[in-house]
This record gives sequence, structure tokens and C-alpha cells, in this order.
Amino acid sequence: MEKYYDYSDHIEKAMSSFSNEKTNFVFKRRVLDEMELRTKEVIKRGLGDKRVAHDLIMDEYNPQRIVKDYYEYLEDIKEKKKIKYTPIAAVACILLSVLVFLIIGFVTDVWHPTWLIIEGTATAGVMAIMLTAVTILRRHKKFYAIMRALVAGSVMVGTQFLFLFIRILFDNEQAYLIFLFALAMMFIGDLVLATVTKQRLVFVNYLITIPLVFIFAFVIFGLITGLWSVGRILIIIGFVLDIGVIIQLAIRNKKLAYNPEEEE
Amino acid sequence: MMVKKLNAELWDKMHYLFRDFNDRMVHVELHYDFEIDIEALKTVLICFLEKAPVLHSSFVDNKFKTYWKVKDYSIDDVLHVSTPDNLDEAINDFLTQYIPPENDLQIQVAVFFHDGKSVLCIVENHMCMDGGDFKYFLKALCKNYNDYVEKGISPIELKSGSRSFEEVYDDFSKTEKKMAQNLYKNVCAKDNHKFPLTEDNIKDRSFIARRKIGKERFARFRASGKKLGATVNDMLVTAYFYSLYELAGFGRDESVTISCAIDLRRHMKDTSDTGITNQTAFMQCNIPELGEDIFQTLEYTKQSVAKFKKDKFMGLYGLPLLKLGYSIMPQMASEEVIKIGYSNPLIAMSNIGVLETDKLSLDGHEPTDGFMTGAVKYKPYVLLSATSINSELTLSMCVRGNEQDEKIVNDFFDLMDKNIDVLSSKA
Repeated sequence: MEKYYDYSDHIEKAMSSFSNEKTNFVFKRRVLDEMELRTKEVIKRGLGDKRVAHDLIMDEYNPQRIVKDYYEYLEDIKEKKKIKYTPIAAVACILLSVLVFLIIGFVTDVWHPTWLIIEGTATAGVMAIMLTAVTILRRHKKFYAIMRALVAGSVMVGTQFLFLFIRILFDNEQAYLIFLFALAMMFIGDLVLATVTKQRLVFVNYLITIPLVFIFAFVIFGLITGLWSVGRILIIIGFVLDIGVIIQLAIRNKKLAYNPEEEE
Repeated sequence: MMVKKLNAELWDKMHYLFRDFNDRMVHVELHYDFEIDIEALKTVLICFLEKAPVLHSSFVDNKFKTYWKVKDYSIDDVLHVSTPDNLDEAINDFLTQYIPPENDLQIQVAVFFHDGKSVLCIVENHMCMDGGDFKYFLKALCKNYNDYVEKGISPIELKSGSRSFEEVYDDFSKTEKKMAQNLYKNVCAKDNHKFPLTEDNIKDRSFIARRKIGKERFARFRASGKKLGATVNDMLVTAYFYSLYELAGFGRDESVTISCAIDLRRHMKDTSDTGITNQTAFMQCNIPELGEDIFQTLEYTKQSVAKFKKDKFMGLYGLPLLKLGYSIMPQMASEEVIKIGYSNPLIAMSNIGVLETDKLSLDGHEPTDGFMTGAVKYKPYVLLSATSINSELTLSMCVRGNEQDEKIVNDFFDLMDKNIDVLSSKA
């Protein structure tokens, strides 16, 4: 009989469909270490028959599990890379933007509004980090509240840049309206997040978001055009859509309603 | 050991919530006329605990999200072997123990030797598995023990997989699944009729009262049921109703409800890919009045049960609501909210069914006797458990009470005896 803890052939067989890359080897080594550790663990717990211990661990680390773990491992590697390289890339881009800003400044002697290059890059960097964090949390299905805060935060971070961009570059005094737009975008972002992460009671998000977005649209439209009375139609549209969602929900529930008496 | 956490499933949390009503222990006792090989049993048990890590986990009542923390253990903490002087006392002491959910182990096994025979007793936390899976666990234990002892096959044949309650929907069609997941109905077992036990007392202790219905009587009972077009369960519930009215002195015209445990696995074609878990709900069996005689009570019972049975989603009502409650609120809030809407049945019954001796045989020896029973209920709640082995029926009731309560329960069993005989008279 092979040594009770010799699982290398089993692992090789389970991983035979994968190429023999470095990551593959590291994973296989890790699985082997885990299996050996688990064997020692069950023996320590009182399992005197080492052959049974071997079979038990072989069953626990069956080929399907090893392959599944491998895909998880690859995802982990990707995630680690994201965690490592996203901030590095963000900082590198910011440094590069500073360099571009300085070069433009020294060559053309124009220092304003070229600083927006740094501002824009920093904004993009921060947003990238925040959204990366959202994707990581989503994968682990953890800390939904933090995910919501990150989505809302990234919308606001992006908005401040847009505000500066419009205000400075186009000298538009109504640029502050972008913040009202951002509030609406925050709700939309939250709705998208709730839908993508399949939150329970997501319909409540729809019922809140739709009228709110149309109210923001009404305010923005009114402030820009001054046509408040015409804009009111936006609020009506919002509430009509909301009623549409409720009706849709009621129809769906009625379709799914089960009455054993009727079935009889 | 690496810290490993397991998800606390919906039924784990629900049974944790039931801590105010019962001790959540499930018990089994099996008698064998030979001495069990302890080393082989240890081997099987370790394999089973490794395949079902929830059995060596500690329940963490986190304010936001509850979970199981997998713990290290030694098999000597699980399996206790002794040769007691007083066998009955040893069995009783073992079976009436309570395993706190925070404990590192959620199962305790004992083997008592006496006169070349053995008694295998197991106590496990209902949060880990219900009677249905416990029966499966026992059968798997025996099969694996036999295969190991006789053929040297490693005892690793225990199902493992998801413990989620949602597995119950897996064999439905897509539409049926959606319909079942849309059954947001609060199932409330509100009936104020109580089993006439004494008031709660700090000196109360857990006891298991049981009554045996011998082979011949049980055969007559079943035969009579067949003639009356009733199942054993209908007949038992009827006897339960009738005895209750007599014991507690309920008015004949009063409507009474008994909650009967139903195995939700009836909705599943194959459970081999799920882990050991809970899949039990209750159906409220209600009679409008006692009726002129026990046979009319039986008719009422049959009608009530038939109403449930024609429902293809029997027992699945309320599950989506519970899931919603647990998923949108943190544990501390969800528990409180669910407690408001939940009403624990005061009078319940669990027909665990047959303990198949051929499947529970060890090393060629079928169990000579045994029974399985549910949790020790705290007054005023009661649960009558019924199991049969070797064509004998065992009725049992686990109560935390005093000697007076034990007498009341035994009086109840006397009435059950009498009413079972009346029902059997049509055989």
C-alpha cells in the first residue's frame, strides 16, 4: 500500500486537465499540504486506522472539489492582483499626471486649468479603488452596507471632478446642478447594486428610486429651464412608473399564488 | 486547526429560537444482544463527524449573523463506554442530558455493556438534524460499521452537501418552485388548550416517559386502521385527541388542535446530495369537537389530515417569510420579530415511524429493542413521539417536570392504551 499520506497521484489525476503551469504547481502543493495536515488531524482525533484516514481524506478532497478549489484559487490570485495592483496603478497614474502637468506647465507656462489633469486622474484612481473593493466584496457576499457606501462614494467622488471640470473649463455657473444629478445617480447606483447582488426586497429599491430620480430630474429641469409647471409632468411620470411596478408585482404574485381548493 | 465557519441555516436558527420551549435534543436508544466493537464504532463515528462538521461545531449567537464554528475534538469526548451497575439509570441519565449549542460537540454517543449485550444511546442537537436525518444517520452508521467490520470498507458513506432549507424546492418545476417560494404566509398554531401539567418549578428535571404497545396489539391497531381507511398516524392522532379530552377535561364541543410534525423530504425525490439537516414542519390537525365516540373523532382527524395532504405545498407555508425575516435583519432583530409572529404549538406529535431492524443491524445482530424520541419540552409544551421497532410501538414524551408530571404523563399513557384498544376493536 502507498504511504497513507501520499496523495500526490490523486491530486495529479484530478488536475490532469489543467496545464502544468507554476500556479498549477503551487496549488497542487498547497492541496497536498492541506491533505496531509487533515490526515494528521483526524488521526489525532482518534482515528486509529490509517487506511481509513487516507480514504476519508481522499473522499473529502475528491476530484470535483479539487477542481472547484482550483477555480477558487485562480479567482483568489486575480483578486490578490487586483488588491495589489489597483492602488499601485492609481498612484502611478497620479504621478504620471503630475509629470504631465509639470511638463505642460514648464513648456507652455500654463498652470491653470491644467491641474484638472491631476484632479481627474486622482478621481479616476480613487473611483477605481472603490469599485474594485465593491467587486471583491460582492464575490465574498459580505458587507453589503459597505458596498452601498462605496458605490455612493464613488458617484460623489466622480461628481466633484465633473463639477470642477464644467465650472472651470466651461465657466458654467449652474455646474452645481451636477450634485443634484449625482444624488439621483447615487440612488440609481444603489438600485443597480441591489439588483446585481440579488437583494431581497429589491422592489422596494425600485419603488423608492423611480419617483426620487424623477423628482431630481424635475428640479434640475426647473432650475435650468425655469419651466416648473411643464416639469411637473416628470413627477407624474415617476409615480406612474411606480404604479406600473406595483401592478407588475401584483400580477406576478397573482400568477404565483397557489390555492389548494382551486386546484382540487 | 484552521478556523472554519459554517453557515447557520434557517432551521438551525429556528431551533435555536425554540430554546424557550424545549432542550432541542433528539434521543435514540437501541439494544443489541452482543457486544459492539468499540474500536470499529469509534472509526465510523470519527468518519461521520468529519463528513458532517456541524456535529463538532459550536453555535455562535452573533448579534448580526449567527454561524457555526468548527471545533477540534477527540473521539473519547464523543463516545462513552461503560458497564454500569444500574443500566436503566445509566441510560436515563445519558438520554436526559442537555448539550448546549455553544458546546464544541453537538452529539454524544454511549455504549453500555451488560451481560454480553450492548445498549447504544445517542443524543444530538436538533439544530444539526431532525428525526428524519437522524434515522438516516443511524442506518448509515450501522451500514458503515458492518461494511467496515465485515469487508474492511472504509466507513465514509455519509451524505454530505448543502444543509439549506431551500434544497426542499429542488425537485419542483421552475413554476412550482417560484410558487413555493412565494408562500409568504404566517403559519400560526394558536390554540390555548394545554396538556394538564403542573406549573413550572426550578426543581423540575428532565424525564422520558414511555409506553410500549406490544406486537399483537399494534398489529390489531394497524389492521383496524386499514378497515377504517385510516393511516397509523391518523389513528394515533385520534387516540391522542381522545385521551387529551379525557385527561384535561376539555369540553366535548371544544375545538382542539394538535400539531403534527411532517417530513418535508416528501417534496424531494433524492436527498443523497444534501447534508444532514432539518427538513421538518408542522401541520395543524384540528377537530371541531370531540364527537359522539372515538370513531367520529377519527373521522374529524381524517378530514383535517386530508385537507393538508391535498395541498401539494404541504408544510412549505411560512418558509419564505422566515427566510425574509432572517435575511433582511440582523440576528438580534430578526429573532425578536419572528418571535412576535411565531406561536409554538402547545400540543404536538411526531410520528418518527419505523426503526427498520434489518437496516439497524450491527454485525448481523438486529436490535432487540429501542426507540427514538424528540426534545425534552418545557411546560406547558408537550410532544408525543411515536416509533416502532420489531412491530412494537413505543410512545414517548420527554418533559422537564416533577414526579406529579410524570404521573400525569403515565395517566395519559393509560388513556392512550385504552383508546388504542377501542380503536383496534374494528380489526
